[in-house]
Amino acid sequence: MQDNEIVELYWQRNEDAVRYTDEKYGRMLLSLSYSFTHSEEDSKECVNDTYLKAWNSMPTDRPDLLGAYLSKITRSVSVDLYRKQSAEKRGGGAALEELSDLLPSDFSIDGYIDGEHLKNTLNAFLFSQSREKRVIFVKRYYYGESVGVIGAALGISESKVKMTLSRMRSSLYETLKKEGLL
Amino acid sequence: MTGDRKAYADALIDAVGGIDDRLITEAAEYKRKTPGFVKTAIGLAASLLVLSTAMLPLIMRGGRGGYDRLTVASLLGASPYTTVSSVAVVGEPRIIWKYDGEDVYHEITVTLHEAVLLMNESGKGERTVSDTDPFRLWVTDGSGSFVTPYLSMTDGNVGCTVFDYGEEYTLSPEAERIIKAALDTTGGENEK
Repeated sequence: MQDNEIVELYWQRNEDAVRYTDEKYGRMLLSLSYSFTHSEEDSKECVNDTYLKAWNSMPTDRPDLLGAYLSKITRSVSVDLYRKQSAEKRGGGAALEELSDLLPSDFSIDGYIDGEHLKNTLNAFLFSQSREKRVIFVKRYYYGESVGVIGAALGISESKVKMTLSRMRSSLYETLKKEGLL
Repeated sequence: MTGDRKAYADALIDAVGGIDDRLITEAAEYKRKTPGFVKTAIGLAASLLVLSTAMLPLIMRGGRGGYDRLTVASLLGASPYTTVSSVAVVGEPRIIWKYDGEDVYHEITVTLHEAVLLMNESGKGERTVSDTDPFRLWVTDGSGSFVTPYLSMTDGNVGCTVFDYGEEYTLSPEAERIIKAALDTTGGENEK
């Protein structure tokens, strides 16, 4: 079923919308969530939360790219869960920690962090990269995929994935500094 | 982690979560490259196919001057070409060509493997301008994507239709010599 047809079902308040969503995107969302929670049970819960949030948000939202729209909800729910659990050290979130590590240990910032500016800068940064590089970055830090999985998916070595990510983090750090975001 | 660092790290993680939908979709749909060992295994086949493609202009030009155009099909191990007034966007993997001044297209069906190999070889062949028998060539895997094998694989060379690409081709003298020799060996029976 096409995305726009599924979205239309949500707008009609037809409960089949959730069934079709699960058939088309369930596995992807479960995998995404698992990357952050490292727990099947938690992942299923996050995906169910995703469906509930999607049900509540359509209408009024009418996403063109339903997969991306749902994945954002799943990621957000999963990252929130990871944050709650991180104090208990339940694993997962390695990609998030890696991303945080681009900041120096004595990092400090004065005042307000402009989230919208940060997001726009990140988008511009990614669109300025080669396709392969930005795919590696998004797979790692958006989808939380392991370096090995990314390497296998792209047909390149793990060391190349690691090197690419390391250079991109350095480059992103410089970009954020130039933009006055650090 | 300091409070500032954690707060900024969280903001950064959230920013990644809010990136453009196109980036998210692109990463999800990104297709795997051909593994190195497969590339090695198919290298010879690819070379042969590229050579065959490079031969098309000469063969077809030759066809007008003495060789039957069906030689193209026999060289590629495919069925005889067909002539169509318009090209189907999706369907079988094909090599398609057209002479300037003609309103029709000629096409031969190839295997998906051959089409993909040819498409992946885009930009690796030589491209020169011909002043005789202007000729255009495309390859499609049947999915709706068409490429011109002599151009590099960029967005400008990958389209959903048989786009209008006006450059013509000739072979290098050495390639021409080799191909003529090959045709003299096997193509005599095809001479008109």
